Amino acid sequence: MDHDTDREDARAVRALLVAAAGDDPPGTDLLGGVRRRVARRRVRRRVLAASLATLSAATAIAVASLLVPVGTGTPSAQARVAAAAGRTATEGYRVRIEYSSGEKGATEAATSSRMEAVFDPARRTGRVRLPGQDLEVRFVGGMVYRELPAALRRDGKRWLAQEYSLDPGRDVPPLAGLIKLAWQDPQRELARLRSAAAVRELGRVAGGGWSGHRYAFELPIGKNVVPSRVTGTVDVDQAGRVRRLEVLVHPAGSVRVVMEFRDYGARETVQAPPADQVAPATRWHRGEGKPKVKR
Amino acid sequence: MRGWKGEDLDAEFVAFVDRRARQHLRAAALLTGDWHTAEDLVQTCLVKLYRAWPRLDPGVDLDAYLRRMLVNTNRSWWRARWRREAPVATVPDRAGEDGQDAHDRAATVRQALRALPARQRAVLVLRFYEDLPVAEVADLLGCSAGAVKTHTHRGIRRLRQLLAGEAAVGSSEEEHHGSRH
Repeated sequence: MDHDTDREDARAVRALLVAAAGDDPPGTDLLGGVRRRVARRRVRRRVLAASLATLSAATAIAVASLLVPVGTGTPSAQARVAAAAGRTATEGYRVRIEYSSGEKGATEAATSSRMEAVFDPARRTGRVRLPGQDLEVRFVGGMVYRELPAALRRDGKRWLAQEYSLDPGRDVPPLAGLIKLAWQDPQRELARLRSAAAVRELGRVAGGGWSGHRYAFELPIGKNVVPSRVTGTVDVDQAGRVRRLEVLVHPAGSVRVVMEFRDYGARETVQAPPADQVAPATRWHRGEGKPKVKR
Repeated sequence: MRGWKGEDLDAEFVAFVDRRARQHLRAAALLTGDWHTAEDLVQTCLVKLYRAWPRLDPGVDLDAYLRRMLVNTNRSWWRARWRREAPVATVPDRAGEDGQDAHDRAATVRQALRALPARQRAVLVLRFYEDLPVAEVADLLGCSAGAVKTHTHRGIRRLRQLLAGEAAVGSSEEEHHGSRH
C-alpha cells in the first residue's frame, strides 16, 4: 500500500496551514513574556537554598542532554514569504512604489507613476505622496484620507475619508483592488502576499546593505473575474523582511506594481487632515457635496 | 560557548527571539490550535532555551533546537490534559461566505487541526508548514518513517472530512486511493 502523499494534496495542505497561521495577533510580546518569566525565576532562585540551586542546574543539564537537536529544516517557501509579509507589516518603513499599466487599445494610453510612502504599523499611520501631482493618501488609525485633485475640490473639502481595513477584498473585488488601489496601499499588498500560493525560491539576491532570497508566487484573485492571472516576485532579506515586491497582472504587461522597501524602523508623524476639509467618501460618491452639473 | 551575565537577557538571544520567535509562534499555533496556548508554549520553550543558552555550542541549529522543545513540550502538555479535554469531533458550521474573513477561516482550520489526533497534527505541521523531510519528522516524533507517512495520509483524509465544504484540501486522494474505501 502506497501512503505517499501526492503533490496536489501537499500543496493544498500547505496552503491551509499557512492560512491557519496567518492571523497571528498583532502586538504579541514574546520577548517581554520571556523577560518576565526569567525575572520571576531569578527571584525564586535567590530565595532557594544553594543545594536546591545545584539540583536545578543538574536537572537542566539532564534536560538539555535529552534535547540534542538534529536536522536543519526550514519553513516552506510559502511559509517564509507569508512570515516575511507579516513581519514587514509590524515595523516602520519607507517604500518607493512604481505603478504602470499597459496600453488598452485606442481609448486608454499606457500610464506610469512613481510614489513615495512611509508607514508606521505600530502607530497605524502612513502617508503616500505622488510627486508632481501634489496629492496624498494618509492612513491614520482606522481611517484612510484620500486627497482630491484640485479640479474636484468644492466647499473647502479637500479630502475624502473612509474606514480602513487591511482585508484586501473588503471594499472591492481582489483583482479590481489590485489594479486600482495597489499603488496607494503597500499595507494591503503585504496582507495580500500572505495568501500567496505556488511559492518557489528562485535564488539568492542582494541589494544595498542587505542580502536574501527571491521567491516567485501567484496570488489568488477569486472567481467571477475576467480571465486573468496575478504573479509576482518578492525579495526577502536575511532578517525576514520584504525588500522588493513586484506584482504583475496578466495578460502580461497590463498592470505592474513594484514596491521597494527601505529604512526599516523609520518614523514620521502623520496626522488626519483638518476636520473641516474632510468629506465622508460614501456621501461624496452618492453625489452629496459634488458640484451640480448644469445642462 | 555562549554566555550571559547581568540582569538583562543576552543580546544574541534577544536577536534570535526577535528574528525567529514569531515564525515558531505560528507553527505552535498550528500544533496547539489556538494563539494563547501557542504563546504560552513558545514562551515556556524560550525560557528553557535561555536556561540552556550558556551551554549551547555556537554551531547549534537554534531553530531545530527550539522546534524540538516545542514538539516535546506540547506533547507533554497534551498528555497532561487529554483526560480533561476531548478533542472536538466536528468543526462548527462556518458563517456565511460573505461574512467569512481570513480570521474566521484561519480559526476554522486550526479547530479542524485540533480535532486531529496529536500525532497526525504534529506530522502535518512539521511536514507541510515547517517543510521537514519525513526522516527528520520521524526522528523528532520518535517513530518510523513509515509511521510518519501513515499519519500524513490519515491526517489529510481526516482534515478533508472535517473541512468538507471548505474546498481547500485537494480532492485527488479519492482518485488515488478510492479503491481502498
